[in-house]
Amino acid sequence: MNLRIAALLTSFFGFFVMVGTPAYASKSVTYTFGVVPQFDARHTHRVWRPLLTELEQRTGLKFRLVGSSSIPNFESQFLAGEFDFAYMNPYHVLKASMSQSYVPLVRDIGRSLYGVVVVRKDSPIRDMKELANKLVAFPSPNALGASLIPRADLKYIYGVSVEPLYVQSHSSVYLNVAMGKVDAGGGVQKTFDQQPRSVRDKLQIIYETRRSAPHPIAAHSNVSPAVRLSVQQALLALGKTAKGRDLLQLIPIKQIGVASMEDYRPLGEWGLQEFYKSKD
Amino acid sequence: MGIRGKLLLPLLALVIIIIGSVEYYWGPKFVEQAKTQHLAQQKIQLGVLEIALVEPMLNSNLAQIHLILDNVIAEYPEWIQLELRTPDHHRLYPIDELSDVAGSEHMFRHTHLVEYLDSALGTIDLTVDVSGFIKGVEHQLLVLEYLLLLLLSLVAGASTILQERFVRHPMRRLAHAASRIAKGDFDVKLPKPSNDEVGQLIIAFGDMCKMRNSAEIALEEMAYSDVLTRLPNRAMLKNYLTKMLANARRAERTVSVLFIDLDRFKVVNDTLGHDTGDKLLTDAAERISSCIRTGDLVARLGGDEFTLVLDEQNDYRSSRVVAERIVNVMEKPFIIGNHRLVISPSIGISLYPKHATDYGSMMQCADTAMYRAKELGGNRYEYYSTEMSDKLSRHMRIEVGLRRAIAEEEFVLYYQPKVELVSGKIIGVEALIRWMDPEQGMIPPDDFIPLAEETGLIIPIGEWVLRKACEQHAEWGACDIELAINLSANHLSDSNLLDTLRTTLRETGFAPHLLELEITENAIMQNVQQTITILEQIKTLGVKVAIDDFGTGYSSLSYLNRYAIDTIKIDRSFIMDLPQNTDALAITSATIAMAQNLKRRVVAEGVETIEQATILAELGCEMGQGYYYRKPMPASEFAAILSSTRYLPNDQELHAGQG
Repeated sequence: MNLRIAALLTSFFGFFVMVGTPAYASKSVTYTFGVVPQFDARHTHRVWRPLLTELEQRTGLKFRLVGSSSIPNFESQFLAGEFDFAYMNPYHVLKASMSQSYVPLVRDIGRSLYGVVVVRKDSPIRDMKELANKLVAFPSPNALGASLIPRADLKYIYGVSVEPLYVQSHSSVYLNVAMGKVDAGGGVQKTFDQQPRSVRDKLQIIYETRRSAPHPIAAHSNVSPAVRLSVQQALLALGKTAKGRDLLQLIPIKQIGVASMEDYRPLGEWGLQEFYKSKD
Repeated sequence: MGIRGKLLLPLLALVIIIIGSVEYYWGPKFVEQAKTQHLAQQKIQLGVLEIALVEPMLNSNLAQIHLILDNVIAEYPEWIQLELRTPDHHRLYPIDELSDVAGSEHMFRHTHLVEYLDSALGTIDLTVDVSGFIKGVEHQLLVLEYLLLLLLSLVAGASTILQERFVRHPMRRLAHAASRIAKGDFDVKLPKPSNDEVGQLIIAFGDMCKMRNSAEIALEEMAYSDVLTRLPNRAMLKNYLTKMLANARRAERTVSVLFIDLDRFKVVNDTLGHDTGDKLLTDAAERISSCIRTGDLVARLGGDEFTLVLDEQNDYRSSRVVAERIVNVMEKPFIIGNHRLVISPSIGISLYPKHATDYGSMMQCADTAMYRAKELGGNRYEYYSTEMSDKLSRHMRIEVGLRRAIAEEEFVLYYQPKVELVSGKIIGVEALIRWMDPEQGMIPPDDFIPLAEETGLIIPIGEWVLRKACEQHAEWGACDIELAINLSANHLSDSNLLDTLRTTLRETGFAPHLLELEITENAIMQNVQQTITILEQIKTLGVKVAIDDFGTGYSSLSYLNRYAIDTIKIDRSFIMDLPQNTDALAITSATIAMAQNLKRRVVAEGVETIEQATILAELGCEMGQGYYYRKPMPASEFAAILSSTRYLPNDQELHAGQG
């Protein structure tokens, strides 16, 4: 039983162990592929490894999945140009373009990215303006849909400021709200839908934020245009097969299409930078 | 209760004690201890949980807290309720308010503080229900009890089987053997001894049986064998012959019995002593034993009598062959010490079924035949025949009758006076025995005295005569009348003779000088040296001795002087020829003269006429005895004569004679 406790501890406090050597300098036939750690390492591997294998078959290239122990780590990694290819959030694309210039290749063109703000159903708060100086839970400072965009909207659209409480995860946000620990919380539609009914039934969405293009798969500008093109074409071709669509669905990419830097340009003008917390 | 019961009883008691102590003492104690340990372990688990909760609580990571606690609750079914609250009692887990649970005796509540750097982050309230755990422990105990019982049953079973095999079965057999031995059956089979205490008992028991058995055999040997020759004795002979006859009857076979008596053995024994006699007997026994086949039996019945039992062929050849062989092997002299002894056998043979069919008659027939062989001079064998039996039966009747006569006092004494020839005065009387047989009437002495001498019965008869005569003499009151009594040769070799005389004289108060013992010339001459000694001893008692029937034997006159003899009685055969026969007259005259020279008294026997009495008186003979004076008469008649006159023939008779 103590062993099981230890296993629990390991799974919740241990580091995500997926250490690879930075591959950028080598420029070998094997390309490194980074994935933003939204989920735990095992989930990431389970989703991405079959897709990369399929991609290898279609392109003749080799891909190595490079793990990151946390989102801040991932950020410093792509800012250092450690990934040849990466799946990142749209704000990351903007940030990266400042130093390393990652080129978006494909993205989900069937959905858009936006945040939600929830309160307890029995809460008197029904409007964003009522959140002035209230305690609001967010997963982490740099969470795009759940934190950066809602906070930007609160300030620049509604002109109110709130007391933020970072509670590590989306679920934690919803629980804190549901159990009355905070007055409201920021999340995204998808994670809200994933909450158990017991939690969801206690919550009410009072606001949806402005919308952006979702996560792209981007290539480092150092990767040759021919390789970039072949990977983009292969991914698009994948979207035309049933098997490929199933693989993409897990990422999740509902409908794959070409992504361009233009898709993410508006995001840069929403004033997110004020709320972004760079790694020390 | 048997051994098994005695061993099982403590085992049963052990079972009861174990079950009882487990059920009422160790069991509850064990359960209580297990519960305490279990609850302590839950506290440790809560401690581990606390560590896991610190970081998510610091980060307000409720999702993480819920994930941990949901997992823990799912992991431990006993943790029926868990609540996590902040120090200001704000609930962090679970999502919904808890409802009350029904209490049970195995429900416990743990309260655990979650702390980080000396500040309290919250409190865990845990309710556990350990009834399942306790049920499990009790179940284990029950299984343990069952196992113990099973083990004890196995032990009991195994012990019973082992006891049966190694203790009870051999013990029962031993007990069975012992009870058989107690009934005298030594031929019992003992169980094979094992290498343990029971085995030792069996071995010891076996040793005891062997000792018992050999002791029995030794006793049997003693009871059934003759000490001197180691040959079977009469008891064994009887046993054996009876069986042989029974077998012969069934198998229609024949059996012979040989009765062997060694001639003249008695003489050897008497003259050379018992040691020589015994040696002669053992040597003879060896020779006889060498004459038979294995399977035949030689027994010694005592004395010099041996008996053989032969398994016969139908032509009775075996007995003849064996008898001849015995006669032959006995011909060679026996060398014993310095003596060369020649002993001949007299063998009588009886045959089954020709002569007799039972033990007693077989023996009697063989005995009869043996006597016949002896009569015919010995050193021979005779088969039994019926005429022997006729002859012998009279012999036997007399012997049996004699024994009865002694016991029943069928003897009577007749008295014949001795008279002084010159004066006719009665100066003595001779006691003469008569046998009044109730069936056959008066039996003359010549018919039974030889038989009495042969059987040795003469000794008790002689004692009776002596005592009776002394007693009757006393009744007459004529104290100066001499009393004469006859002794046979047997009496002279009877070592008790002097004692008998002494005792009788003392007890009857008879004056020794009035007693005279008459011994025949033949008896006196049989063993000169011994007789001289005996006579001198008799003289020391003051008793007189007379030679009876003098002149019939071959006595050397020169010996007469050496014998302490007082009186010579001239045999009647000389007297009855007087006065016509000159030879008789010469012998009588010479005898009287010699006696006078030797200063011995002379008595003439068988005086029947006055002429004879006159001549004898003239020749110097002092006394006479005979029909001229009186026939032997009963005591009462003699007493009557004494009371009337002491002179014979009495006046009446003299007158008649003269007239």
